[in-house]
Amino acid sequence: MSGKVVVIADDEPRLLASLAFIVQREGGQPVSAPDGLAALAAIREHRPVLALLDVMMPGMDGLAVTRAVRADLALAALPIVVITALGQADHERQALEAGATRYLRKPFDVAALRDLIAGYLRA
Amino acid sequence: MTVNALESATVHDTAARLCNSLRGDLGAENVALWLHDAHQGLLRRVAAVGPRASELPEVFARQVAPQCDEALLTGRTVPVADLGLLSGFAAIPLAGREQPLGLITLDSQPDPEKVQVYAPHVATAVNNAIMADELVRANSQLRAVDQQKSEFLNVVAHDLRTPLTCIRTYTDLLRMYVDEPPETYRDFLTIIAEETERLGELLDNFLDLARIENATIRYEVEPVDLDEILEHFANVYLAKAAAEAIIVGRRVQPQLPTIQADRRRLEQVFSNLMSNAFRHTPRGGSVMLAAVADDGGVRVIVDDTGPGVPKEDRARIFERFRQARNADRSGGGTGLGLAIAKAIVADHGGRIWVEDAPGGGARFCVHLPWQPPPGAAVLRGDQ
Repeated sequence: MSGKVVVIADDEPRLLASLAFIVQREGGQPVSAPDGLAALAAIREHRPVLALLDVMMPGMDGLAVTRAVRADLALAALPIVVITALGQADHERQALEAGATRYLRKPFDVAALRDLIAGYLRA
Repeated sequence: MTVNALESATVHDTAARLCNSLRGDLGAENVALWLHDAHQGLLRRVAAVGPRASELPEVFARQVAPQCDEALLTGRTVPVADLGLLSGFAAIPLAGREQPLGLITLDSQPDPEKVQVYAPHVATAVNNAIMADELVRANSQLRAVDQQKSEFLNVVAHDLRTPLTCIRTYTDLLRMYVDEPPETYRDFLTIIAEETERLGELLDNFLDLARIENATIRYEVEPVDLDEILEHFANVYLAKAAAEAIIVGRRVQPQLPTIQADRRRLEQVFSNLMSNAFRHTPRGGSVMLAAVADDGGVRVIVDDTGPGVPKEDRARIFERFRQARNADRSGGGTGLGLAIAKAIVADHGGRIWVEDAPGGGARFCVHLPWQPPPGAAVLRGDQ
C-alpha cells in the first residue's frame, strides 16, 4: 500500500468503514480515525491528499479539526470535506467559516462521494 | 398569592410605585406593602418607602400580629399595636381574588373615606401585576416545552439518520462495485440487515415511549416470577457473553414470591438494563443479576464492571436521549432504553436508580412493590 493517503474520521464505525472502502477501491490509502483528535494526529503524520471529517464526533469535532488544520501553515492547503447532517444548516455555514473546502450532506450520494474522492486521488 | 410573585420585578415595581403615591395621598411618612402567603400564614414585604423602610422585617407570621390578622379577616383597617417595629402603624387590608391579597401598613391614621377609595385600586393594581407576571411565566414555560420538543425531534432525526445512512451507503456500494467477491456482498448485506433491524427497534422504542407518556399503553397485570425472567435473560445473553468473555451471574433469593406486574413490559425493562450493562462492560468483565425481597416489594439489581455512572449524570441518564449524547453510540444504544425502563417501572409504582457497584462499575436497581399501589398506571386497563 503506497497510494495517496486520505484521512477519514467518523465516530460511527460502519460509516467509517464505508468511507475506507471507497478510498481503497479508488486506489487510495485510507487512514481511519474514530474521533477528531485521532484525525488531527493522522493528518499531521500522514500528510494526506484529502481529509473527510464528520462534524459530530466526541471530543474534538470536525469543525475544530478543520480550524486546527487551517491554523497550521504546513497543512493549510489540505482539501477538507466536512460531512454534515441534513437539517443542520448552521453546521454547513460553520464548516465553510472554519475553512472547509466544501461540505457533504449526510445521507450522501455515494456515487458523488466516490467521484469526489477519485478526483482528489487523480489530481 | 403565589410565592413566585415575591420574585417578580413587575410586582415589586408596581408595589413600590403604589407605596410612593400612597405616602403623599394618605399623608404618611412610611408606607409598606405586604403580600399574604396563605400556605405558610406569612406576610411578606414586597415594597417599603420612607426613612424607616430598612427597619421593617422582610416577613412576619400572621399570628404574631393579631391586629394584622384581624385586618385580613375582617377587611377593616386596624391600628397595629403589638408588633415591635410596626407599632403605631395602621394596617389596611387588600382584598384578593380568592384569599386576602395582603396589607398596606402606614405610620398615620388614614382618612377612612380615602382608604375606601384607594384600597380597592391598590389591590387591583397589585393583582394585575401578579397576573401579568403569571402570564409571562406560563409563556416562558410553554416556550421551554417547545424547545424541549425541538431538541427531542433533533435527536430523533439524528438517531434515525445513522442507520439510514448506513443502509443507503452500503446499498449504493453494492450497486457501484459489482466486481467485489461474494464475501464483501455477504458482509455488506449483513450490515444492511442489522441496520434495518436497528431502525425498526428505534421506531418501536419511540412508539413505546410515546404510548407510555400519553398513557395509551395497555398493561396486563398477572403474577410474575422474577427468578424466571432473570434466568431467561441470563440465557439469552449466554452467546454474547461467551463471545466477549463476559461472565453472567444470577443470585435470586430462594422462594422469592411472585409480584403483580405486566410480564412483557417488565421483560422490556430488564432487557434494556441487560443490553445497557453489556454495552458498557469491557471484554473479560462480568454482569451480575440479583433479586431480593426488600421494603414492601422486591429489589432487582444489575451490576456491571464498566466505567460506572458519574454522580452528576445519575438522574440525567434516565431522561429520554440523554445517554445518546455522551456515551459511545457505537454499541447501538438508542438512548431511549433507560427512559422506557424508568417509565414502565414508574407505571408499576416502583423506582429505578443507579449507584456504584461494589467492585466499581454501575449498579442499576429496580424496586417494585409486591402489587401496584391503587391508582398505579399499570392497573388502568383493569378498571
